Amino acid sequence: MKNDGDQKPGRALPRRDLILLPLISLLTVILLLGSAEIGTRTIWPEEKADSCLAKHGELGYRATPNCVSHTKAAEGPWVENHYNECGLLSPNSCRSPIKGSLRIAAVGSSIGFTYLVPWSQSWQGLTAARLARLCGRPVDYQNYAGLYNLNESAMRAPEAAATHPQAAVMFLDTTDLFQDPPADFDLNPAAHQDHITPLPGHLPGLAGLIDNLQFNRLKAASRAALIGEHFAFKSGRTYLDLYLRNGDKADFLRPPFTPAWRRRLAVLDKDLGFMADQLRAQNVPLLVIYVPQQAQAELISGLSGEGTDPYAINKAIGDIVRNHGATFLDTSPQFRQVRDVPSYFYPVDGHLNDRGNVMLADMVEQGLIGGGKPLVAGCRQASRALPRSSSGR
Amino acid sequence: MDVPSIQFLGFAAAGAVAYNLSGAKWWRMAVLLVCNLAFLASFTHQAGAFIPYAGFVLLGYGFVFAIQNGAPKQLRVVAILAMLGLFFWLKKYSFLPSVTYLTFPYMAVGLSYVFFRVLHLIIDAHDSETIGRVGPFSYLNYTLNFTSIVSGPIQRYEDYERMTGDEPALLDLVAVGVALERIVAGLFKVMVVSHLLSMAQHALLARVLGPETMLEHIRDGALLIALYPIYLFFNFSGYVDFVIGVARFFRIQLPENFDRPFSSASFIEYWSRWHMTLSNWLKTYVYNPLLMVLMRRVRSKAVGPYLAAFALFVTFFLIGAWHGRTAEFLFFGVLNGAGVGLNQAYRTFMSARMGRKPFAALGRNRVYQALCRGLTFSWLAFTLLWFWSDWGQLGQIARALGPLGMAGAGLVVFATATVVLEAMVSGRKALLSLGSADAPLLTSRYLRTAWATALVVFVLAFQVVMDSPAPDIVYKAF
Repeated sequence: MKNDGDQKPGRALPRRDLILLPLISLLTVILLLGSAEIGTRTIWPEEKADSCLAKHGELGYRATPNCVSHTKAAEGPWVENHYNECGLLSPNSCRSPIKGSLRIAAVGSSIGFTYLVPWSQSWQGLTAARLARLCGRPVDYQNYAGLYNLNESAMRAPEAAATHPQAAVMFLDTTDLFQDPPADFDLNPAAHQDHITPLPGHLPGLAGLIDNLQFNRLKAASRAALIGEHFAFKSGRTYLDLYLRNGDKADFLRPPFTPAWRRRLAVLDKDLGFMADQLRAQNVPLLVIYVPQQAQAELISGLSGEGTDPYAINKAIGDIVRNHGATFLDTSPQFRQVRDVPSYFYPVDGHLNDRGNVMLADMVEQGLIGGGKPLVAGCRQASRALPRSSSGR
Repeated sequence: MDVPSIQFLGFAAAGAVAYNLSGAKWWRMAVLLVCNLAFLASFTHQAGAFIPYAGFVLLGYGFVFAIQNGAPKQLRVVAILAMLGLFFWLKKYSFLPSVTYLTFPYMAVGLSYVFFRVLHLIIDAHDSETIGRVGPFSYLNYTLNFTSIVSGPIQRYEDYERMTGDEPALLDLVAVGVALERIVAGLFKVMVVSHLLSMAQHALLARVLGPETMLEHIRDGALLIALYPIYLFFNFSGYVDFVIGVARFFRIQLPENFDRPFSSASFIEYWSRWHMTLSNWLKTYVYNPLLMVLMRRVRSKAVGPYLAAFALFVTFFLIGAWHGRTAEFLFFGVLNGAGVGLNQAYRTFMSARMGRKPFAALGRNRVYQALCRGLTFSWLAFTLLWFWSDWGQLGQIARALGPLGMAGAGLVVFATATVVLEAMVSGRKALLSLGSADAPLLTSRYLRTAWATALVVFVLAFQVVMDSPAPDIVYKAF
């Protein structure tokens, strides 16, 4: 290839360059995008679709009984999911509990489901071992949580209550609220048809092709984009600055709440009321643990954000939870003075990782057997004491 | 409308197509005027907000017109003082009583750069041989040229007039390719590199102000100090690359504003490579006249050789002070002036002591050059602390680092800059030596096409990943 050091305007291009230069451009694009995508997919594999789960219309996801699947966030390790004979994510049988065991039901959305975290490193795995030691009996977790919106979570409460657990644990974060499930939704499961529907991004035929060609889908499907974001978000400051540029999504950090966020709190009020009523009918106490979103945790850790109040939404949620007679614990204060907030999360995915789950396990332990009037009686309290949340019980 | 931005690019593309539809001068001037006014209108939709700006521009034309039509010589001085006063007032310089400020919101985007152009015309209006008759449309298009109004570069009127008149810059396929390459390079520098550096600087500031070990403090303190000049370079030179590329589609060749400033081995050299059009403007209209006045007035043989140092101090103090209206910018000006002044005094002193030839030989010594480069960068980074920060924040940083941390960070900046900049200069030489001497491999149009395409991919990918606007052009605020 001949060099062209003399690029003075006025010099004519050889004819072949009219073909060659665009071709070089095209090849460069293909090479860069292709190598970035192949490289990142090789180094950071991802499998978020759980092969045991199927979407049952408005009822949400249900797992095939006695099924084992493998999932992985690009940002995390491989996870083996074991579903028991009831299709619940649990190493224990749902129908024949171990005699004298302490049964706890997990309800709610993906954090309670221990999504993308190996069971042994999840809050369930960690507390199962610890509570068994402190309570002197085996712990039997039955997981009614899932990849649900608030309405779908609420609809599983009657099933959870029917298994007569000693307590129910639910995690809540602002993503659960932001999903915007309809407010006028009928929470009676019988009101909804049980039929399997295609997963998002899996529509059949031409509709599926068009659906998958949407820019947001392509971006979400790009591993290179995900990994780029992952490394950018490792900086708490960067993550916070970018997050605060969101409008509606970040408005929960900027009180007073917008009508959209007030509507979301109203949906929570309705759904949580339904869940608490269902569980109370079976004398099952409900522990609700609030988990801050990563940007919120960054603010709590001490980073500044103009016009923000990282505790406003916690207080509003805490009031709703207590109004329904449930116990409220707030994880937020645990992030005070934490220097490396991103290390508790999968920064792009947004879920808590194994380190974050250690924090959750501490909260669950405190919520179930800590304090003057523990929800689960007959257990020793661990010697280490966690700081009480500002909006705790 | 942000510059650079995709929106601006679309706007300029539409303007350029219209501009090139006809070669008639009246057509091109009309299209350019519409573009200039439309661009200004994109900043506010309130007509009243334009009144002070319009007054400033029109008064400037009034002076130019009067001078070119035989007004007495003294009018030039009155005009300069009037425009200076008006500029300070509209920019709300803090030495003016705040009660005199206009209380309604008004447009001030690019006012500094309009000011430099207007002042240049007022000072040179009498020199009709060089700049010719300045017509009202040419004046408006020159002072409000949308491609360079926000932050320069400052083009001389005669160059502008030539290119919009009889000698438009050539716009063939090669020129289009080169212009697109500049636009892409500019977008990459601003939207990717300066964005990343800005984020890194924010993160470093948070880390320095937080609890760290002494070694971490020294490392992060050094990075915090050193990163800003690099960020500023990519931010500002990226903008300049972008507007030079865009202006080329209007057949205007804007002057270069940067020439590898970090390769400078002295602070004086640095200012001849950084924001070159502003330095040249000040050298022409402040340094040269001031030095001539001083040389006429001061006859002392002992002081004489140091007059240039004093004139440089004043000139570059003004550059610093021009940037802003606060005590921090004044101090930045003092440090800038001290940098070039002491540099000149050192040259004068060493030439006298060692002799011109031995001192020149020392200047060619590679180790000496590398150390000077490191010192120049370190001094620049130090002065810029008053550019990006304020006294309160600097106090916080100083308290967090402590005397040992500050000294350590300063030494690390100097040592690292010396090594890295030497490697950069040598590396560039080595890369340019690849291929034949008259056509180095790096300048191959095939390689440049691939590189520019890669930059486009990086810019787009970065925008997709970050999903947020690039940081503003720092110089837009001045």
